[in-house]
Amino acid sequence: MSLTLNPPTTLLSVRDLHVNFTSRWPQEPNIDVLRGVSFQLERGERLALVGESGAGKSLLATSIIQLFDTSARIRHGSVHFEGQDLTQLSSKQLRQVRGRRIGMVFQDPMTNLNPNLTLEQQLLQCILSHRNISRAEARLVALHKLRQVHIPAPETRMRQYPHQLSAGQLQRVTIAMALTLEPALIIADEPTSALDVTMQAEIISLLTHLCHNNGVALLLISHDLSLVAHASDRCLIMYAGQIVEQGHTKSLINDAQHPYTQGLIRALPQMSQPGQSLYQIPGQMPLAQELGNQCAFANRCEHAFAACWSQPPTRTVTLEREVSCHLVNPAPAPAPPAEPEL
Amino acid sequence: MTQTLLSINNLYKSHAAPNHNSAWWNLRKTSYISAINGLDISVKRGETLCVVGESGCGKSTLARLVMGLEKPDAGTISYQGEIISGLSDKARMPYRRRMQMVFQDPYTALNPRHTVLHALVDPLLYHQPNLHRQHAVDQAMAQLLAVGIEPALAQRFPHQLSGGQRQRVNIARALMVEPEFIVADEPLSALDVSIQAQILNLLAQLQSQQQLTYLIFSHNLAAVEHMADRVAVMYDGQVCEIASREQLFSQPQHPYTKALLAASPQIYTPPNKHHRLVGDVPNRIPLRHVQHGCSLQDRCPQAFETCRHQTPQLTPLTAQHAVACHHTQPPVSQGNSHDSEH
Repeated sequence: MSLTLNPPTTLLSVRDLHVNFTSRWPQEPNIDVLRGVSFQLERGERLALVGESGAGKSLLATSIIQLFDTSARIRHGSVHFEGQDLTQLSSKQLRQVRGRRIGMVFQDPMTNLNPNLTLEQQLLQCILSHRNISRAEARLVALHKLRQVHIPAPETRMRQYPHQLSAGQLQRVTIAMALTLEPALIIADEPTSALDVTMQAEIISLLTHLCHNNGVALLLISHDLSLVAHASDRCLIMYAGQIVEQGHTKSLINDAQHPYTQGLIRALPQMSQPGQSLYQIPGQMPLAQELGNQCAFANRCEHAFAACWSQPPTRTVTLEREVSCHLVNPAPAPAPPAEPEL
Repeated sequence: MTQTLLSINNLYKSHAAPNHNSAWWNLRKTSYISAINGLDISVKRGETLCVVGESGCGKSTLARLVMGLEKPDAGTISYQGEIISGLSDKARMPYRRRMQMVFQDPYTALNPRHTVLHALVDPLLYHQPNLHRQHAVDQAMAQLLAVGIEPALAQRFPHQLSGGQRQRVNIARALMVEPEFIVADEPLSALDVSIQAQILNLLAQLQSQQQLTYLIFSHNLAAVEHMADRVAVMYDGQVCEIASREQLFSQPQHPYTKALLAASPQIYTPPNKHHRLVGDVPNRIPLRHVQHGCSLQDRCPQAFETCRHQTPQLTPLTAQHAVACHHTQPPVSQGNSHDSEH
C-alpha cells in the first residue's frame, strides 16, 4: 500500500475491497465474493476488466457506485472517487454521484430502457433530475448527445419508443444518456455482448472515442480479451473475486505472466491452427465458499506446486505490472516463459 | 464427402410483421417481412458448413426451416434427394431422428423441471417407444460420458449446472437418437471465451467419432475459421458469398464478407477501419415491393450505378468459391434484372 492516497490525476482508487452477500440462513457465514480488489484509474484512462462469468466483474462495477443487490454489503475497503470515499456516503449523496459523475452503460439495451417511455422522456428525465435547467435546454443537450453518437434524424428518433430502434441504435442511445451529464467516469458492463460483430466493433470504437474526446475515463468490462485489446490502455484480469494480473494492455497481451491470463489468450480460436484442437483451461472456476487457504486458480493451473495449495499468492508489483502468482516471484529470475508449451 | 446430404433450392420465407397501427380498418392488411429471399445452399455429407451473418439476416429462420419447425413459402429443402419441406409431421418423423438441433441459449433450451437424465431419455423413448427404459438410461449415461459430463450430474436440474455443462447436455440430447446431421444455431454465443474453446473441441471430437455433418450458424468468425470446412455468408436472406474456409478467410471477395472480417476482433492486430459498414440490415416491408438492385447497396462503400438496378446473382469464381457482387463479375445485360422480381 502506498502512502500517497490520491495523487492529483487519480480519479478512482479502489483499495482492498471486500464485498459479501448476506446469507439467507443466519447460521451460515457470509462469504466474500470480492476478495480484496485494489486498482486505480487515472483521469481519462481507458481501463478494461476481463474475466469469466462468475468472476465478479459486474459485482465490482456495481460495488463502485453501490448499485448492487440489497443483500450485498461492502465488508471492508474503500472506493475513493474524486477525493471522497463512496463507501462512506449516504444514499442521498450517492445519488449525486451516480449518473452525474459516474455514468453506466449496461449489457442489454433492450431491457435497460423503459419500454413505456419515449427516448425523449427518458433522456430528459435523466438530465432534469440532476441539472437545474429548463426542458427546452435539456432537449437541446439530449439532441446534441444523440448527434454525437451518430443517431440519424435524432429529432424523430427522440419521439420513438425503444422497440422502434434496433439494438445497436439503442445501445448508442444509452451511451448518449450516460454522456449527457458529462461524467468523469463511464462504467460499461459488457456493452456489446447483446450485439452483432459489426455493431460490436462500432460501439466499442464509438465509446472509446467519445470518452477520449470528452476526457471521460472508461471502465470497460468484457469476457473477450480480443475485444478490449485495442480499446483500452490498461487491463485488469479478474478471477474468482480477485484481480490476478494487471498492467498495460499491450504488454499484458504480449507477455502474460499469470497462468490464467495465458490460458485466456491461448483459448481464443484464432490462436491455434484451424482444424486442430483448441487449448482449453481445464475445470471450472471454484465457488466462493469452496475457496480455502490456497490460490484460487490452483485446481486449474498446469504449473501448480505445493505452495499454491497451502497459501494464497501475494501481489507482486513490478514496473507497470501486478501479478498474484507464486510462480512470479520478484527475487529469482522469471521462470514462466519456458513452460507454457505443454 | 462428395455426397450431398441436404440441399436447399430457391427458398422463400416471410413472417407477418407486427402491426403497430392496428386499427380495425388496418387489420386485414398484414404486412410481411421477408426473412429468406431465394436461398440456395447444399451441405455435403461429413462436412461442417458454417453460415455467418448479422442478426436479422435470416439465420435462425433458416435453421428452423431446415428442421421443419416452420414451413417455407416457396422453394424446397431436400434431404438425401427426397423433398422434406412439404411433409406432414407424421411423414417427417423418420427424418427428425436423422437430423437434430442444438439451440442457441443453453439456459432456455432445457426444461427447468426435468433432470438431465430425463431430458436425455425423453427423445429416445419418443422415437423408440418399445425400448426398455433401462436401456435408454444406459445409453444416456454413455452419451453423457461422451460429451464429458460426469454421470453423477445426471440427476441434477439445469439450474444446478454451469453454462458450459448445460450446452454439453444440449449436445448430448441432440445426439441421443444417433443422428447423422446436426443443425446448431449459434451454439457458442451464450458462452464465455474459455468455455467456447471446450465446446468447439467437443464438437470436433464428436464429428470425427460419429461421422456427423454439421450446419452451424454463427456470427463468431474466429470460431467459424476454426471449425468450418466451408463458409456461407448470408445477408438479407440470401447467400452473398460461399467458399471453402481457406479461400474465404484469405481472399474474401464480397464487401460484406470483408466488413465482417474487419469487424471481428483480433487480439494482436488493431481493427481494420477501411471495410466498416454503416447502418443496419434492411427490413423489407411488404414482401412484394422488393427493392431493386443489391440488398447491400445502402451500406456498401463501393456501391455504384449497377448495384442500384440489378440484383447480383451468385456466380462461381472458382470451383470452391461463389460470390454475388457486381464488383467481382461483369454486369449482366438487361434481361436479367426483371428475373429477380418474379
